[in-house]
Amino acid sequence: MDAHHARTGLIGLLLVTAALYLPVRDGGLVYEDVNWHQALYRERARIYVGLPSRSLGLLSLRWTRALTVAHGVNVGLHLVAGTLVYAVAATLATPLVAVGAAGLFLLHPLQIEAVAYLTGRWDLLVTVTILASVWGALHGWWGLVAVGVAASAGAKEIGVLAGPLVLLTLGCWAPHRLRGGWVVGTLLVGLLLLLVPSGGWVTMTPGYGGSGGSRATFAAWQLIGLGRELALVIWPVGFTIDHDPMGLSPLWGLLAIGGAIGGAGWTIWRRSWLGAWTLGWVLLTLAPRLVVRSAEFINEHQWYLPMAGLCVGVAATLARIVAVDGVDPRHVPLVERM
Amino acid sequence: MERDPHRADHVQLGAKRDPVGRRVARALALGWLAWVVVTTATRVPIWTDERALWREATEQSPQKPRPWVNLGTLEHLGGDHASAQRAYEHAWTVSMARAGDEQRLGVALAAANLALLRWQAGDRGGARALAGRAHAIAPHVTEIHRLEQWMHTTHEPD
Repeated sequence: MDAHHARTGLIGLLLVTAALYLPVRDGGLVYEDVNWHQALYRERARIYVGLPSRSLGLLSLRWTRALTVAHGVNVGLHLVAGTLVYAVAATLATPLVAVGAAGLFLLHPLQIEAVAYLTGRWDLLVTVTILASVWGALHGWWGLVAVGVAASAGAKEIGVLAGPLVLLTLGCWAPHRLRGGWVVGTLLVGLLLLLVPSGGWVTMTPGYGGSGGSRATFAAWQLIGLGRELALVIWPVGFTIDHDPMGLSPLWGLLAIGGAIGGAGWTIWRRSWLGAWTLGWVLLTLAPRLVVRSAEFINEHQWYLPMAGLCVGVAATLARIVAVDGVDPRHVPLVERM
Repeated sequence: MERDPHRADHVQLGAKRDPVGRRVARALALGWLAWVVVTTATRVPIWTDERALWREATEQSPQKPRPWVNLGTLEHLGGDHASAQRAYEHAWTVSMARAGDEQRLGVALAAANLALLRWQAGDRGGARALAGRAHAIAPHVTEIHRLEQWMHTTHEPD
């Protein structure tokens, strides 16, 4: 598949996605939407001071008060994010893998919660800003990288990962660009600065966004939830707005661990830099869920950012399995790229 | 954009693959992709119906109190008090099997909502007792405290 046909395919995918999500224009406020809506219009300016790491999303919700418009913005952000997944994948792999990754990202049911749920706005924004930073880094647009990293700090707390994800991508794809110490230094300083607006997230107490109990227990429950929701990527049965890791078998946690170990083993065996990138992206974007003891276990909308990397890896794997226009990573060993 | 010399190039893989196996793999991959897309198409409309969303949650997470409380609230607001009562009582039952904060909050919310149902049915004394119990279990929940205060300050004959 050449780039022209891939772009045509992308346009088709965007149109299909817009058509599939058309019903959400009739959607209202669901669950936590009501709380944010009330807080936004009751607290006014104070909420931006209290939640600087959500300010971008809060501003966007305020500007799009009409529910049909708000849902439309969510769908629009999803289409932008899908286009950015295509753009990043087209740089890292082949046009076919890029179309496949964008198609999975746009059309997978695991993405529905982030798109159809207005509270998913944070996840949409942080993914768009981070993907824009990564694309900018791949093409040497450092101004875009700076804007994207800064914007991700105001999109959601997990936006602090913008710098590390840019470093991961450059490290796997163009390690020679990291030889400039100022790039690494700037991104690391940026990471430290981003921790300022997001620092409160790490120190939440029970009853105020945090949870009690030991860190090990929380991490174990989160692993079980991660395993269950990871299975939804391949076997799309069992979606819900409210997963219950405490009601599941611990075997789901083993699935999550097995997936990480299996992915690492495959990456090392095939010496695949794309596999390393996918695994690094997924692990980096999910690791905070094991460390930060929030009051909620992992939800489907929190998979939106990890899916950006996971879809590229799955698309590349599918392209190899069906042996159509695939990329053989053995010809570009990871060790030679470092 | 400079071309990165380390970027992987296209490699012809098909010549070394079993053509029958390749066709089977393609068929399975296409079938899986179609299943994914159909699932999305059928699931998106659920998000426009909050009652369907929480009903689905009670089926997928039957041992979790919150879906039952939220479903009960929606049934309650929709005027179906019998369904609401069943949902709240189920929330109470599954809450007792949980531990710590989740048990307390689940039982308190179920009790508070059942108190509202009893109040609307005319059982003022029963409603006040349930609201008081809910407040005792979860004193930090402002809405339950306000409900209890309102029930005790509203002077109507039992």
